[in-house]
Amino acid sequence: MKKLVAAITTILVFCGLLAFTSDRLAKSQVKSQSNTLTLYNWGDYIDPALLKKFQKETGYHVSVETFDSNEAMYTKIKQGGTSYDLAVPSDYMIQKMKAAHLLVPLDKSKLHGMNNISPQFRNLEFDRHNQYSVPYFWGTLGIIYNDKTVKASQVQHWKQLWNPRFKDSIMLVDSARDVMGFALIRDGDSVNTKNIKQLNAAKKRLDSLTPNVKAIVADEIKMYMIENEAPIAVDWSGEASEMLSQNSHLHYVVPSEGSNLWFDNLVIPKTAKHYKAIYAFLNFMLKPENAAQNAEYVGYATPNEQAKALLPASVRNDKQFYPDAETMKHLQIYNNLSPELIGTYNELYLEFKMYRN
Amino acid sequence: MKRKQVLFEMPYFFWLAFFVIAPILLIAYQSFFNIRGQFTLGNYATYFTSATYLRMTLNSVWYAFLITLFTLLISYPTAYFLHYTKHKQLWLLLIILPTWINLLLKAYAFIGIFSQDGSVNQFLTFIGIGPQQILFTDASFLFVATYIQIPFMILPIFNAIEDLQPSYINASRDLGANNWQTFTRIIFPMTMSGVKAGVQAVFIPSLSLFMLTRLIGGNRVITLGTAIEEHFLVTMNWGMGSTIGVVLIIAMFIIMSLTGEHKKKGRKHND
Amino acid sequence: MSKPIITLKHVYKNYGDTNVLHDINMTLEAGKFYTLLGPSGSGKTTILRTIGGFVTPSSGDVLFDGQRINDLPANKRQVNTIFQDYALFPHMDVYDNVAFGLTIRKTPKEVIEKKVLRALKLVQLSGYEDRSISELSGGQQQRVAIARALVNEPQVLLLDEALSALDMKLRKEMQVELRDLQQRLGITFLFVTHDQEEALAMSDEIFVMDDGKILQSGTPVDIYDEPVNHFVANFIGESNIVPGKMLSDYRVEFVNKVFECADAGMKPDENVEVVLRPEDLDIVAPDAGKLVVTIDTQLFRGDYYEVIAYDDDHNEWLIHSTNPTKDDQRVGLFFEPEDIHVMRYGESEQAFDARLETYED
Repeated sequence: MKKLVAAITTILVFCGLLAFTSDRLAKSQVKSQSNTLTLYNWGDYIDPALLKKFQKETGYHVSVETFDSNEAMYTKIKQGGTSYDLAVPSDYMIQKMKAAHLLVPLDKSKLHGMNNISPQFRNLEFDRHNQYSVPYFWGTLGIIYNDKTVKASQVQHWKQLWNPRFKDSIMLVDSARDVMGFALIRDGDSVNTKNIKQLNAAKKRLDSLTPNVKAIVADEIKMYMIENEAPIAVDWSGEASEMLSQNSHLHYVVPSEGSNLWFDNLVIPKTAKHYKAIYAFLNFMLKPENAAQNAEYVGYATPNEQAKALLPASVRNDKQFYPDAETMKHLQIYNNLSPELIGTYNELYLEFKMYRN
Repeated sequence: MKRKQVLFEMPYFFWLAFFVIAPILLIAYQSFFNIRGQFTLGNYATYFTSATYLRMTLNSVWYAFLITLFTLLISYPTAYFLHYTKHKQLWLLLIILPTWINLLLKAYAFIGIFSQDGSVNQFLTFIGIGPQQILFTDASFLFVATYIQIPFMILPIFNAIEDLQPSYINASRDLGANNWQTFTRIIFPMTMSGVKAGVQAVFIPSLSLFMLTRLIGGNRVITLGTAIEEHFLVTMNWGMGSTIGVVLIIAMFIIMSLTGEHKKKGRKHND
Repeated sequence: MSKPIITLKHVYKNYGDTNVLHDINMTLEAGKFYTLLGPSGSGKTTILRTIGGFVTPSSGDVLFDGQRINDLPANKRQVNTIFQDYALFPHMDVYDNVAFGLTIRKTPKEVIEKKVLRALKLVQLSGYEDRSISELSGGQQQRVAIARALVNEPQVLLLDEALSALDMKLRKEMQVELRDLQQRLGITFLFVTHDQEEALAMSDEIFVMDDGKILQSGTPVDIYDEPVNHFVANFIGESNIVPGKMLSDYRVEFVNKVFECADAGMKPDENVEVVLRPEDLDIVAPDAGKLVVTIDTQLFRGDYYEVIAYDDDHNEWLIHSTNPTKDDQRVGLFFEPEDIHVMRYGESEQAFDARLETYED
């Protein structure tokens, strides 16, 4: 009994100390609530040095909260009770949030530097005239391979993944849209198709890929590829750039017949409160030197043309992450699909995952 | 006196109401709505007419069965011999210790052990067999799931064996039973309560494992947990996710009643 | 004398440094009712378990029918035990409990049924076959335990504090029943108890134990009348024990008076202890008594009065009297020379028996 009391007391004292310290730290950082901007972002998706610089320049403190999927972010903003000033959803999710009236239109008069964004990344289908969103990063879906066992020529196109010699060699990213997407592209179909025949055909295609599929995993793909667990993976460019930086045998290919092109853009959710800070931050991030610094830190491709010009030549000329115009022409952006259609995509994907030959 | 008793019962009542009954009701309620928020029985219709879901259910039950079986096969002898060892409390602590570690950490540890460059493959290479694909196989999934569930099976069985009066064993020996007969006829049936509790503690969570199916099974093993995760996190079809949840809850009740205590039926002797 | 069925020869049992059994020698004859009597911790249950096969002696031999069975496992021995808590299997009904031993021996079904029903009839539990154990009263559980053991037709039945869990009335009934059962079946019973009344009532022969040793063995009457030492005298029945001095054969001095007695064979002027059973003391008129005492208290015990009195030297005397007395009354105590039992300090049972040989008959 004495021991129990001692243990409980220790835990309580420990918790109390932690709470006190964290409270003190928070207070020392935040001068007042109105000076704080809350950014709802993907994990490790902004250079912390930039946040310090921003505070120095403008006096606004940025508090960052993170999410790990568009859907989780959507649910949280929709449920309310939050006070996010900025969020970073992907393309199709911007469309969805727009339709659900969760976004506040941008006041262009307060926005400076939109022209720094490359025209090819402006005025896209998911947000015409960039009424709601400022491009933050963009990327592609592609093939990562290990040159120890795979030759570059063997993985230039999606259909090459079905090569029997790659038996039990491929890791797929666990995402219905992306996996269904490359199967659709392989057959020359749209990644946004509503044609159930095309979808069924794509699913059949995937079934026949099963012998080559080693695993369908999520973030762990990075770790596996770096540790040579599999020679081939299908994953996003941002993930790929991290893998490449840690294993020099890895390379990234965006098939020239097409792939997915995705965007993460800054938007103002309807929960926003601190508009002055919001526009200060958007303008800050649009500045080429800041966007370039952020791109170097995060490793993703920046849509800011001026910023790209500031990046080292080895980066900005890297065809892996800044594909040539010809390939760019073939890339497709995901549209927001109806919930039923999303259900169909996922159902078929689930069936593929369950398929065993 | 009566009022005092009611007062003491209140916290338990509220606990049950808010943290047991309310969530179950909410899940059941949610399961009657389609993705557009309209009332429907369609989710259940979909579930019971879809070959995918039924096969997934079968998969889940089958893997959960295998995990439970292997766990039991390992745990019972372990608990039994543990009972007779000298420092059993220390050994028990060592067995329980892994449960203090986060599941995700354990899964990553196994990734390290089973990967191409992992210690198992290094050993296989050392003895000349050469590296094998271990991760993302049924075997590795079952192995890790079993490993993780073992403490939850050992504990109730160990307690049941500890509670067993030695005089029952002596009586059985005294009446002529050898060690094996004593085990099958007395020890095992009399520790059945521990086995049942263990089966409940292992089988039901195993039905909806989803993190391990991805991390260790590489999504080559698909259970209902995978589907629930997908419906709540990707398709946002909470209705369908809840429907599967309801199915799991019903499955849980079935398992509980199957493994619960039954009144022994009278047997007829022709006398 | 019928042939011995179980013999223990110089049996010792040690757990580490503790001596649980110390040079145990005993012989059980077929068809008799034996009792091991002693306080808890005296080793009586250990002897039972040694015979049952649950304890292996550290040294010495256990013989069954002349065969050494030290290393024979419990399940191969032709003895059965009734455990203190009965150890009836709760997951089986009465029938299956009783049938257990027979099923283990792969006895044909019809035979099992016949024997089980007979055994249940023997313990007056016919019709209880389908009952579950938890539905039975303590006495019924006791009977099932007996039936379960007897159905195997053991040559020796070991009963470990078998009646201690029952209430007084039931215990008395079961004592009669057990004794009756033993006599009808004609098999050997070895009964362990700490209750001297139970031992005296049921046994053909009693082994009194203390501290891992057998202090005395014999018929209930022998042990009661001629306890070998202070412990046995105190443990069996109630006693007045006073120090005394053996002046010569048949003459003993205690409470500063000299009395005639029936004991002999001791050294002159040897210090001894004298036992006088309370029921041997008769209350008489002060001048007719060999001792004069003052009544202190009396308790009515139903069939007698338990009287406590003090003599003039403040020695306490316990008297069982059929008639009531008055408090503070001065009365005489009368007893015959045979009622005086003289015990030597530290005399063993063998020495005691040998001394008796020298002057009896």
